[in-house]
Amino acid sequence: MNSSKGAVSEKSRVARGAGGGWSAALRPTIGVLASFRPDAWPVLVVLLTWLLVAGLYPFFAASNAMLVFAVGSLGYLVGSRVGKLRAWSAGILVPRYMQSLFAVCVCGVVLPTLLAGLACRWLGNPEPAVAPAMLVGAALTRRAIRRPRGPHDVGGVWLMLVSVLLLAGGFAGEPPPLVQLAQATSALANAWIQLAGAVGAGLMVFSLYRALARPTIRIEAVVLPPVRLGDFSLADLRMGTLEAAFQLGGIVLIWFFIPDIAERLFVVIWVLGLAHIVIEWWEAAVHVQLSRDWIFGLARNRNDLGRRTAARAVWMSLPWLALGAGWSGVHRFVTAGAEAFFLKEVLLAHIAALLMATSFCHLTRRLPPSHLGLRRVGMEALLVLLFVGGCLYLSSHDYNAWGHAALLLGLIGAAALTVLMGGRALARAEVLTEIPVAPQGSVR
Amino acid sequence: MDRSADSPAPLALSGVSAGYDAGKTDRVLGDVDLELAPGTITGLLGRNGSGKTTLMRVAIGLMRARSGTARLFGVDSWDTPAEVRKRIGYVPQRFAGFGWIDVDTCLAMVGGHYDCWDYALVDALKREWRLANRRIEELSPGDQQKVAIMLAVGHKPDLLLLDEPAASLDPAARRDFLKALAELNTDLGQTVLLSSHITSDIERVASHIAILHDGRIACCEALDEIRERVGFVTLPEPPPAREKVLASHGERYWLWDPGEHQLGPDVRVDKVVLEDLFMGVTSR
Repeated sequence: MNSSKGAVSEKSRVARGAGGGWSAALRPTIGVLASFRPDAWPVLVVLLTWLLVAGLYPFFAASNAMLVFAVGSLGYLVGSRVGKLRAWSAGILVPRYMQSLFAVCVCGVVLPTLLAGLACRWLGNPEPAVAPAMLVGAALTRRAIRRPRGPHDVGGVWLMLVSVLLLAGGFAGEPPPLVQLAQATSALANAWIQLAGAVGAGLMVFSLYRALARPTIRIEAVVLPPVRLGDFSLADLRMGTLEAAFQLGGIVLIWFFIPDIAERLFVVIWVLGLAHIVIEWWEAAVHVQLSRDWIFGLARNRNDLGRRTAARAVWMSLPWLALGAGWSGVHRFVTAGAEAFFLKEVLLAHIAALLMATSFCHLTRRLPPSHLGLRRVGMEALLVLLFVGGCLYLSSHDYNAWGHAALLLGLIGAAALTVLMGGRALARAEVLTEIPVAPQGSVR
Repeated sequence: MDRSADSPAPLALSGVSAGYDAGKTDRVLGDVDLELAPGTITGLLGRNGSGKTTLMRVAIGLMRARSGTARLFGVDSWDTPAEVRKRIGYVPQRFAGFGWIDVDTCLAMVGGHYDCWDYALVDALKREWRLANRRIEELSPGDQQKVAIMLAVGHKPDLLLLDEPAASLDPAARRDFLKALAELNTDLGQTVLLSSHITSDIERVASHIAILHDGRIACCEALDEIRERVGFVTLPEPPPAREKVLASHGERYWLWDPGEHQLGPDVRVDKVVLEDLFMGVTSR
């Protein structure tokens, strides 16, 4: 800090900072990459869930659609992170900052696509859909960078996802519901579609560049506050919707590729996927109810409020049960001779949905916990994965002693986590910071 | 203010007006003229909502002026190239960094964008301020502000804009920060624009003061000159030489060269207290 340090600073500057060429070009990008931190976990959990479910077989050996889908997911993940980094109000002053973000975006889409494409070829897929995958990845990155400005954006995301799935269906080729589409697109599943994908990817990358790297970009001109409908944020919906859409898309693809287990697996994961959409309303409703309970003095203290929250969480998860039961009924009606234990799976799905809902609420900090350490997040993510794995095991095998034990453990785990997270959510729930907070344990 | 004839001023605002309403019905800044001479530390004072933050945002190109010009080192601040941005450091009022990353990563990430990042300086500041390497969102507001300051000074900018940087710091950290600021100014000849409500801080480090009132710069002088030439008096009637009145509030007057006013033997001339002067300027 003083003049004696000046020499050290100068030396350090030469040693660590003043390198040119590749070093200077790469350092900012590496720095931005290094800032990718564990709160990308929610999205990673989603990806891991369905990737584990799917296994690597369809991804590498059979499916161009999975490649498209995976790169799209990755594009969204990278884009959402870069979107957060871009919102740094002073970032515009840092030279080459936007260019670094752009480099990260492009690397986050292009490199995985090329690597996955190579792996596909190596594992026997003669024509991996590299260009369409890159197109979808770049499109989703672009979409993730831009914050939503209204309902039309949310609809746009859905449209994009549907188109991705239709494209995927076209690649998949065989499933009866999409056979006509498959026939229509199979003619393009060659050089033409690759060319179109490459052109589209080029345009999208150019659009990314315009969005991020233009020197005249001004933060306040592009970052708008999220549109709020009462206590509900469309920005949240968008995130949740995409998570759900990815889940659903993955499930649909799995259903296509592994028809043997589709009947039962579909129900379990479909409900899980739906959980992410409903979770948005669930969370908003719980927050509203919490504030009412607290303001009107229905909850005597924070502990009481915790119990009420947990009870409400369980209560609000019941629609999943009804949903599953309804689906079960429809399924048994349309497919004669369905297994007798189908309802059990619905129950299982309900538990899993509850667990996933509370975990996601927790992981995404929409109900802020008192403290969120990496270890805790990791453990909870592991719990979720283990439980989902257990569900899958149960859904694809006959029930035995281990299966029942897993079911029981899942029940206990779901209940415990729900109560725990409901209680912890109160410690720092945003809604409670906006209203007068009574001393802990006092009667209002 | 004095200005070197050869090099353009680090910051020059001329007739700047700005506001936040898209319909242009509001007006935060009216007609601001301000020029910082190289190597000076200018304390920017003003009441809450007087437009200090807006002035800084316009000055560095984070916000566009409705009229007038804002220039950084002779370049329009709305269109600054990377070479000019490299010479600017900015500490916003509230640190808007990345909560999910730790301090070291944040410093490394921002440092990676500069070819002149002084790791030793930043390390020294980190040690001096006893800053733990924790996730930024877990730091106290004061510690977050320290990170913001390190990010702003790590590349040893030629122009440093600090928007109430010490508001969340404890007295010891504030003292350290002001000391570091003064040393940087001495060692590197940095130009600093420092906004603050703590007039004692301004008095401690600033060479000039600028008081923003009613959307304009109501007073912009060298602090030493004010100390030497301005006197505070209480008079029942306004002094005849109105042009020599720097500020007034009721019967209280801050006069340039009070000896030239023929005030009479029973009028006591006191030295100027910056806080009182601020009150006088912003009360009229």
